Amino acid sequence: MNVETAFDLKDKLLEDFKKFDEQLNGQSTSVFHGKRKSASEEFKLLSFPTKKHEEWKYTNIKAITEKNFDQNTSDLLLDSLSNSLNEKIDLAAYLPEGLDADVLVFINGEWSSSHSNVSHADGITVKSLAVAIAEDTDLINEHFGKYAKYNDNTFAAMNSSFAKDGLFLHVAKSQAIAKPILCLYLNDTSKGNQLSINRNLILVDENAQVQIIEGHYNLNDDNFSLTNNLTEVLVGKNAKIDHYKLQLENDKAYQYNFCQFVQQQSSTVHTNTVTLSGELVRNDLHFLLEGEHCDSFLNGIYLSDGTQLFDNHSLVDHAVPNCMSDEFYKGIMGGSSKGVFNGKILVREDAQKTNAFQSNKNVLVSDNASINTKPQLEIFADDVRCTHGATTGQMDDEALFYMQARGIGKETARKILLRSFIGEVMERMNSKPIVDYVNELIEAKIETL
Amino acid sequence: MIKIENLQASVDGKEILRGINLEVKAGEVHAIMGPNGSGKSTLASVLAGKEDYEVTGGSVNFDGKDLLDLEPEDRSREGVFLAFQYPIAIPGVSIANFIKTAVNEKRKYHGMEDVKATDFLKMIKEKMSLLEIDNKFLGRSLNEGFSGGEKKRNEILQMAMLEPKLSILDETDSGLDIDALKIVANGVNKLKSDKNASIVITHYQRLLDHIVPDFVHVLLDGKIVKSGDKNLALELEEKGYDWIKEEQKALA
Amino acid sequence: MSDFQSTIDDVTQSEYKWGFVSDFDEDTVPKGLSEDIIRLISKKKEEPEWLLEWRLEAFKHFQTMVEPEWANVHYEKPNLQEIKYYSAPMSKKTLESLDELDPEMKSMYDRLGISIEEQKRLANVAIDFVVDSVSVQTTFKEELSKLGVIFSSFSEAVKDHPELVKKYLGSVVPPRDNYYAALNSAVFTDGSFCFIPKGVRCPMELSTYFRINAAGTGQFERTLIVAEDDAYVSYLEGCTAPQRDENQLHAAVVEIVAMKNAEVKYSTVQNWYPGNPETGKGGVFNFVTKRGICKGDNSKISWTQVETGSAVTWKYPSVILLGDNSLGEFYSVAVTTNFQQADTGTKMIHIGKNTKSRIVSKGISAGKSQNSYRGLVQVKRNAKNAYNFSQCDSLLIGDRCGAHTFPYIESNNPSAQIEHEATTSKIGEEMLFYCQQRGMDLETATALIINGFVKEVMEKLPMEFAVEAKKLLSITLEGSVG
Repeated sequence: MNVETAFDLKDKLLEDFKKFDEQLNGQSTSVFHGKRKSASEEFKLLSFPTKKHEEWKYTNIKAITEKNFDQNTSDLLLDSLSNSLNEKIDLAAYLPEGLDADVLVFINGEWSSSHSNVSHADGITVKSLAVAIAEDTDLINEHFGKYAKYNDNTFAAMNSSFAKDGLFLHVAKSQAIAKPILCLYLNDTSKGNQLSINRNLILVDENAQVQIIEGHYNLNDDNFSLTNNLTEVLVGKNAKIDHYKLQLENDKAYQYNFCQFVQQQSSTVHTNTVTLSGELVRNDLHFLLEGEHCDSFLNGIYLSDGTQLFDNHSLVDHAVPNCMSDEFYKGIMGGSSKGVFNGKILVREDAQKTNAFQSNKNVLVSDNASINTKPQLEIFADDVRCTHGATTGQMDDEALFYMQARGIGKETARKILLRSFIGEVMERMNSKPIVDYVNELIEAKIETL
Repeated sequence: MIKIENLQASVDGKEILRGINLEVKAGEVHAIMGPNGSGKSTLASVLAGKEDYEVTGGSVNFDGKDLLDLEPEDRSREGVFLAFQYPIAIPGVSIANFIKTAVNEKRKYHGMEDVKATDFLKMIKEKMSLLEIDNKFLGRSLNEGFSGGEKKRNEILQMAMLEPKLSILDETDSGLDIDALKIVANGVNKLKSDKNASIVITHYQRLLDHIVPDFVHVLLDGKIVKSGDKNLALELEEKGYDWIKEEQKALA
Repeated sequence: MSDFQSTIDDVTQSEYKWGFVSDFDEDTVPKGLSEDIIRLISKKKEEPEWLLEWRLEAFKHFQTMVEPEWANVHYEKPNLQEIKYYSAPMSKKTLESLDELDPEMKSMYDRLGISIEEQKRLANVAIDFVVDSVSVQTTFKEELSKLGVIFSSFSEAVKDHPELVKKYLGSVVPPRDNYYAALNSAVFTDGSFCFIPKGVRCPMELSTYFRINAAGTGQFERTLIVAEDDAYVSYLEGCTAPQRDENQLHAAVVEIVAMKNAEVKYSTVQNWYPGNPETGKGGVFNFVTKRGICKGDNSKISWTQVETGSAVTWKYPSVILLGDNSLGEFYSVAVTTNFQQADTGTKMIHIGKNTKSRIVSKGISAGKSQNSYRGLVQVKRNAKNAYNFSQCDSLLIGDRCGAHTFPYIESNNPSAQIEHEATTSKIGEEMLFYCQQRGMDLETATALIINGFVKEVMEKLPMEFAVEAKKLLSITLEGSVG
């Protein structure tokens, strides 16, 4: 009908992949690149989801797919790595006070060695994935792409076809990392609409312990950014992970985030997702519990305003008996923003004695805000105890009145109530410096709501 | 009435009762005391027939029958009543309905007709006034949203209605304030006769001020290590359990 | 738990007790779906032109639609060309009284446990009997008409009150609403019509009894209930089908309109043939669209359902809360055993101010069955102070069944308050032990616990129905729950 065909991000990315593939020469026969190629084949078959897709029913991504985004294609070759910005960025704004951490900085999806500061300890490997592909080939080949499935997930297939850099972390048996690992993903859009692909592989062996903090920011707001993150985490027997994701991009930023945890016997994972800015953020947080006696804690906080859309999808797959999962998400929506929560607990046939809890609570603070929540249970085992609950509403008028009656101004009272609403989730977080940092950010965000 | 000989039981392969010997005759009240983890509640559960516990040795003779050979419901029908430490809630099932079902199951077992609705109501109201329980209680869902005191009173009401030969009160005093404790103890005393007997399991002596035992036994590490009269309970209250442990060590 | 296991296994041996075929003459049309068949049905029913046009329009649209696949059920799609769309027990003349009924049919009702003789004595229930495609008898018509209450078969209503039917037919469930609603609109054969005029409280329960009898037929009935301002009615629906190896399709549409201050209570006990307990073969596909609209302020619509039958159920009785202060309720017990699959729940659409809804769903799955709750609570932008509370509990009996919960909550108004709670568990061993310690055997204990579990819903049923429903529940779960 129309001679002018609309821009199609998928076609553009397939074209990019072709170029990428051609540039690689010697690399093109490696096992690793083979994985990228299969992912690209899958990506070709898929299309970007529309609202007709059940998992994207409430999240319209037209704003993303209608735009053109470029990657740092010139830096795709290994030898041009760590060739990021020349000028030194002041990282102070992104470093939580009092947090003594090993810092890895990724700019537009590429590791910046000059900004990073990693100490070396025995039994612990922390490095850029790009470096690890060359240096730790066996481990990479064994684990990379094994845990995060990209069939029927366009963004994951996209990430897997362009995967080249990100965090590689390997904590050997019985090692406990003294310092937390802080990954900063920074988008620089000064040259145009920027696509950043971050790909992380985290292997925590038996009895090991680690704390990981991920922060997402934009360095400037000249153009739009699209961040596509995919993290695979293998949690060994008895291992413990305390994980934080802080999503703090600007209102020209779109983010897709897929994190897959695979837990082995008696391991414990605490994951905390805090989404305070970004124009559109979609999180797919998946847990596969494949060893018995695992504990998984999924905490989440999202505060949106303006036209922001924060979409948290989670899946806890209880594949074996005797595991416990506990999910607790709270959100406040203001402006004409939208919140989406979709939590799924899957208890497979053999997963007897499963305990699974899920709670999602929301407050709308403006007439034009909305929330769509869908807490699902899919249970195939009978000896289980699963509960989920979801509420949406406004602030408790009686509590508000009670405070006013004690002389507290309405606005102040309102803010106190909103803070205490979120506080319930904050209490579940372990890291003091992160809690302080997040509290400050929440405080500031509540001021705008 | 009940004769327990060398009873041994374990849970998940862990041995908890290591040879209990106890004989209770009609008209007697026995108290079993002991620190946490000594096996008191396990003994109660094993006698009632809880599946989680595996009996690994010994015998229990109840009025000429091998108790351990009976299904839990038949033990109840024969006259063993366990007042649970933590009675479970059953949503949607009213107390009246629950107790009526229980009473009729027992009657059926003994070849009797179902109790007439009017007779049942009359009987339960009598018992309730005896136990100072409000009439509204009957329509409530079993143990759902009950306070600690209500739960325990409900247990005693069921005991009154089922008229057991042997009542085992498992930590019936836990979670009760002194007034509730008196009411519960009062109920137990009122139901006492020369044809029935009670085993009172407790951690503290205070219940025994109100339900006076004929015998007191001390359970330690799955064995009855000392028996005496009500004064033993007072001694335990004053001195704790450590002196018995010491005594045991010395003996060993 | 081996005893418990064996009693669970018994459930698969509990037989469907309504599975006989009654042998009276049937008047049917050739199998298959086409415009000609629709014209034939319309002609047989001596329908006015407008209704035929309405059917054909629906059929035209139906042909552009595809069968939905989003529900959590798996089955071989029925071949619509293999179904007979019209089947009626042949009767020689219009019946003056129940005594003139075909003796075979009379005995069918006796075997259904709804003996007409007995029904005659039940002074407070009026019944419309629908066998296969047509209504065979409506009781208490006279008494009701004195109050201005119209209660008749749908066909009669088309003849006697065309203006009312024309006004409301398709006003809540439009012919294009969904695949099966469109199919129903094209081929529906009969059903019940009920109209309660302004200010009238219907003094008796109105009831329809549906029965699929003839082989190879589908049942496509249509029910329309209109309650004018300040009117009240309680309506009951029951259904059974013979035991047949092939799947029978039941695609009904129920529409309810409640005007200002009106209240409609709709109760269903659904007991279609669930298929062979051992093989899963046969059984009724129950694909039903039920929807009510609270059109006027302060109106109330309440759905109560006890679902024990059907091989596959796909059903979401819904309420559109348009009038301010209107109230929608959904109380459901859904039991699946053997190879049954149910995907059922409700939709509450809050449009008016201060609208309230309440959802209580109790699912029980046993055998190899799959039981899903799917619900939508939607609060539109202007639905100030909307309130919803949902409680969805699932009970699993045995380790080869599944229980699933898919609640959708969409809130677009900050003053709306929505609370959803769900639990899934099995009958706790602690509970069973407690009952056993009080002298109950496992069957008695399980029955007691299940009755407690569904009590909140059962209490919403009219008395006569509640007894029936309880009996049905215990027969369905016989063996496992006594």
